[in-house]
Amino acid sequence: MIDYDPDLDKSKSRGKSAIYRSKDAARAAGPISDPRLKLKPYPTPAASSRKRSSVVLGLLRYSYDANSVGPKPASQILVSGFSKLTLEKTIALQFHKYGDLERVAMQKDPITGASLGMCLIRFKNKTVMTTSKRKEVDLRSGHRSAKKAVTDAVRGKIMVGLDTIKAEYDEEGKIAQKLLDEIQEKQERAAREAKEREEEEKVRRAPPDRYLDEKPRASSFLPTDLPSRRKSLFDMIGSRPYLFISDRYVPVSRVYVQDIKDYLRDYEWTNVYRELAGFYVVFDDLAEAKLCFRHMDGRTMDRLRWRANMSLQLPFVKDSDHTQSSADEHKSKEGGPKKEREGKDPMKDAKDTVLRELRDMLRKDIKARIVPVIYKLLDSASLPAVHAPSVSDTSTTTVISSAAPTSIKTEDVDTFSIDESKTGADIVENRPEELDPSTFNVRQYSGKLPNLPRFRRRNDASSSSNSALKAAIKSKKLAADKKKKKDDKKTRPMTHHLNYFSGDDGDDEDEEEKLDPKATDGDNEEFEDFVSTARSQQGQRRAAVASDIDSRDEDTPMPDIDDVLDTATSSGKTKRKATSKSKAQRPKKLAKIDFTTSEEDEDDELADSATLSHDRPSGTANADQLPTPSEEEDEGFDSLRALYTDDSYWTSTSRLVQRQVEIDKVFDLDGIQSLVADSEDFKFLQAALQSVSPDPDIGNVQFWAWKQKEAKANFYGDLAGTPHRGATRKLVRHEDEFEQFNSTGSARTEGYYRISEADKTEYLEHRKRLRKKKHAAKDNISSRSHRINNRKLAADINLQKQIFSATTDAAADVLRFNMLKKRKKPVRFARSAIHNWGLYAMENIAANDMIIEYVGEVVRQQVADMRERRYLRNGIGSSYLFRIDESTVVDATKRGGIARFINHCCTPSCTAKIIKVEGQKRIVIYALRDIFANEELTYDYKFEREVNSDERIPCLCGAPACKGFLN
Amino acid sequence: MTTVTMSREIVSSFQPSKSFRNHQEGSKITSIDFDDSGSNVICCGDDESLTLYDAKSGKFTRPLYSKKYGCHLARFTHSSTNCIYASTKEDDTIRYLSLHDSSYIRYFKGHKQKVIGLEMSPSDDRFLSSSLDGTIRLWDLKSQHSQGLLTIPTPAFVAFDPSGVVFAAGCEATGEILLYDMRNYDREPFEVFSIESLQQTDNGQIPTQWSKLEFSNDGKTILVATQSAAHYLIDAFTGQTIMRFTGHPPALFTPERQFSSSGNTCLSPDGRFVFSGSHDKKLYIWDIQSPIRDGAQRPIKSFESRSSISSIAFNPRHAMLAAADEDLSFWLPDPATVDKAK
Repeated sequence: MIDYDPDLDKSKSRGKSAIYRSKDAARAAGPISDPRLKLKPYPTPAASSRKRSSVVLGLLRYSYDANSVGPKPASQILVSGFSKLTLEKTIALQFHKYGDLERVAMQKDPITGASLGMCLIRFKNKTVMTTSKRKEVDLRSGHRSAKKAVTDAVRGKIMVGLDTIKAEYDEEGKIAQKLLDEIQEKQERAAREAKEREEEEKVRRAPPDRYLDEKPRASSFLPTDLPSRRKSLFDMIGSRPYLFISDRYVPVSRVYVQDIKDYLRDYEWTNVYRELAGFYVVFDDLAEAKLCFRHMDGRTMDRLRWRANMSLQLPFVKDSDHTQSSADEHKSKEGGPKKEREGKDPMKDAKDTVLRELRDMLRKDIKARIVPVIYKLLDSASLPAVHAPSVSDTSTTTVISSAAPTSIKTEDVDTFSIDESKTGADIVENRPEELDPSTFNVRQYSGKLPNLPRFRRRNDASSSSNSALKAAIKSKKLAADKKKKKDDKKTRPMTHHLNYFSGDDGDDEDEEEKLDPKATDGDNEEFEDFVSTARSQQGQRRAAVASDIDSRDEDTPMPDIDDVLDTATSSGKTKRKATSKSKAQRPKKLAKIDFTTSEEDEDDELADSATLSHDRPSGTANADQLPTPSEEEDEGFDSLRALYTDDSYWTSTSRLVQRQVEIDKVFDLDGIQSLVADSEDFKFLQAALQSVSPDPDIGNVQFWAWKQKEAKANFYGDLAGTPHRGATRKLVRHEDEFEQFNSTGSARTEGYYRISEADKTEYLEHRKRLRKKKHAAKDNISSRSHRINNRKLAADINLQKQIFSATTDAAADVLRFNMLKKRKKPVRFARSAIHNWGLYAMENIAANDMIIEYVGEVVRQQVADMRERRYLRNGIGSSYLFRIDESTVVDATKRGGIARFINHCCTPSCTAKIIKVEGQKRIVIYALRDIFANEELTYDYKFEREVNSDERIPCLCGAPACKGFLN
Repeated sequence: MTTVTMSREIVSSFQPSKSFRNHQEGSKITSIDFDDSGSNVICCGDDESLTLYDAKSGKFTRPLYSKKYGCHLARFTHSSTNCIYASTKEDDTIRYLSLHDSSYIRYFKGHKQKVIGLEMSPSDDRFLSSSLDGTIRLWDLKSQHSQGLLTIPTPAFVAFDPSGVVFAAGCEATGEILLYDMRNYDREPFEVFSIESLQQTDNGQIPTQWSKLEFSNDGKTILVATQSAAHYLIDAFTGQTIMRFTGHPPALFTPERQFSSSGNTCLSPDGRFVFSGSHDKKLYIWDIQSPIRDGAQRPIKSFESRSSISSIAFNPRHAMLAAADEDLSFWLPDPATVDKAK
């Protein structure tokens, strides 16, 4: 035993070598006893000791990995319980949420290939990155997915269609195989049994047909060893009727009596007997037996396995009644629930239902298809011959459109009256014109649909030209029908149309009358009546409009301008007055309104349609007479004037309308006035306007003119932010030259106002540049094309490389050298705002592209230090030393590339990377972001921070985030 | 940490859960050792490499190579980052290795022949080594000097009692177990058990070869594992043979083996179960509490293993067993049984 150990004894007082106890000294220590006995309790191992006795031990669970022994955690599950019609896809979709699926295998019948309603799903194991950055397949991930799926399935959470799915682990597919085997076995057994039965049948010489005759025949095939029982059976049956279900169809060996009883549970059978030949269902009541037979014969039972073909056996007393109807085996529709059977014959029910439905369908069809045709015929049946008398009869015959179209070109003037229900009649002359179908069609709406304003023919006025009118009406109606076919259906369902008639008072009449062409008028009348409510408002409005038209002040220049416009737009043949045209357009617009029945939208729509449909060429001055209806009832048809006059209109109806009115459309009185340059012009103007009577609405002409101008000024004020007075000018904006439009012509007289940011871009220098850049960027090479180029280049280099490698090593070196060079971007150096020289891009450079290599002499640190001092001494203020690593520096001062000119910036456009090329460290500048041509290239010098303020180099990069110093 | 109470059911449900083959093809694992926390395993292979495993997650950590010196009987010190192992080449030095930087902390030189036993004291940093040169040396991890030298006539197996106050040296040639006091072990043993059953030779000729000497954790018994058809449980105080474990095939005499394994038998931490692997690819378990029939315990269960088992060790903290020969396998109780036991 050691006495002194220099390693353990800190004092080391007894030398460097260990001193051991001598035997004698040991012996002198006295007798030894068992030291364990002195320890109470014994043993006393430390808590951390591995020799501590413990019954309770930690439980370890190892996750499955490549080293694991034993079965893999199941990542495959067997899903069942869904419909056999379910597709694999549907299942996959359901289970995809638990994890990626490796395999979805619907289990199929090996013979028929039909789905068995089972599906094996294997979840994929994910590939994960381990802590040591290795890709590894997580063998448990699939199991986790499977587990989730199974858990959810157990909770009944997974549904496919309406079925709740069952899921269980089936890693090896054993369960699925077992089930498959079972099914197969079942099939085999069934086949075997069928075969056996067949043979039996053969032996027994079973009757060829499926219906059995009565007793004598039935007994003939019965096994002879059961005569007594057989006899007793028929004794039991006695004279009661019974249904016989042959063993051939429902195997006696596999179906129990109870099954049959269940199957026929809805019928009041007395008893069911099971015999070798089949089942006997005995009834007390013949009617019930018949009913049962009728309903249940040929139906399938026990989940489609058996087709329970029956034969009804009547008591042989009533032999004549025997039904042996294989022919009338009727597969009636699956009727209602069986419990409703009482007192009802499902078949009759079904028949009734079918008939009823057919009837309904027929009715519907008639309504939908035939009636409209008839109606059309009737409608257009206001043929002259038929219609003429009725016209004279009824004073309220409708003439639908004011501009009654005619295919017949007549020079005669058809006079229509606008039947103003409230006000009197004003005759508006209308020249029949050759209308193109489209406008024609549009107009027809007014006649065809409710809510429309109508023009009624005045009896007396039209009497002279009756035939022409009739012709007009006829053609119009025909067209209307045509139109209906085309458009009406789309816009308005036929049912509406029909409902309209049926909804009316004279519903029945109507339908009947349609057949009678003579009844058209009455029809139309009703039509009109129906419309009347909706119409009244419109009518009123129209009345107002009409009166306005007539009472137009001739003094104003307006009508003239209107005329000019009209002649310009309308065809040469049209000799209508502008007012009439605008009126003609009016119903068209109203017709449009009718499809949007909402009253609120009306005005918007009107204004919209007005603005959109009238693209009139702005002539001299644009006094556009938009036939926009006014909002207020009492406003005139020349509401446009009021529109601009009345500010409140714009403010109150501050809707989209306002924005959509183009500048040109604003009534520019100033413009008109400016046209009249001198007294001579004025004279001519006066002469021209001689025929025009002044508009009484205008009243005080001075005031009206002022109002016009103000309205315009306000309009521009809204538009441009500054009220614009004077004649309208085109606001021309040049690309480079910003022109601030001042109404007074001088900015100084305008006072202070804010110029919008967008405007500032137009003339502020730096923003202009920015804008240009933006434009330039658009048509520049994208980074994508850059990549393509680079790829091409790479392929090129590879090709070259191959060639060179075949030749010499020296050539390869050249190539290597060139590889860096070739990727270089065109750059140039020029004076810089940051520091005396700078490097500029000569073309646009995409982010992450290599720009240039920092080339210079590669020197050691010591050499670099020395050189730096020398350069300082020689007065070279700029430092072109670039450190690669601790011991290497690239000196580009005397020999080096132009990369040395790149300046520092705190928000740099480039970055310097040290990359290894062929084992050598090279400094390469890469673009940090997209760099535009002529932009200065900068990168962060990343100088070490100096504490000493004297040694700090101020940064002049001017970036917003400039730190102020380079170091 | 979830725990499990060691019971016959649990023990009977042990099954291999992991299997590793991180040593060279054809080489054998000669020793297994757990660290104090039972979370690390170190194995020595005769391919001169050591392998480390994480026992808790059942994963291979990394290999260590000792190509120059060879390795045998690697034992964790009380730190799981250090180990000692015996060289098999060049000399018979015991090396103290830091695992985290793979550097040797100390060499313990002294043995003249192969070290056949190496045991850390459960209570302090001292450890015992026995060698074929007939000596047992006591060392301290902090000192390169042998703390004590004991010369016994035949190569011996050494074992510490759970308190670390006593150690046993088993001489297979004489069939004796010598108990020494740690404080006075340069003197004669305070107790010498002469075990008759171990002195008897199989078939009257060859003396029973031992393979391991181990104190149970309650300190009351000593397990003497042999290479014959029986293992013995000896009373640690009286030296009486308590029971004999039979029912397993005797170890094969394998002359191609360079060194004996660290023992194919071990006790569970509660001292109730004896595990023994054998070359017939089976793991046998005896339950000390089961009744003795014909003067010997029969295994309560024998498990099929994937390979033969020459070394075995039970995790001191977890219900886990490591068994090795050509490959290392970690055995765990069956989760289903554990769940049922709860």
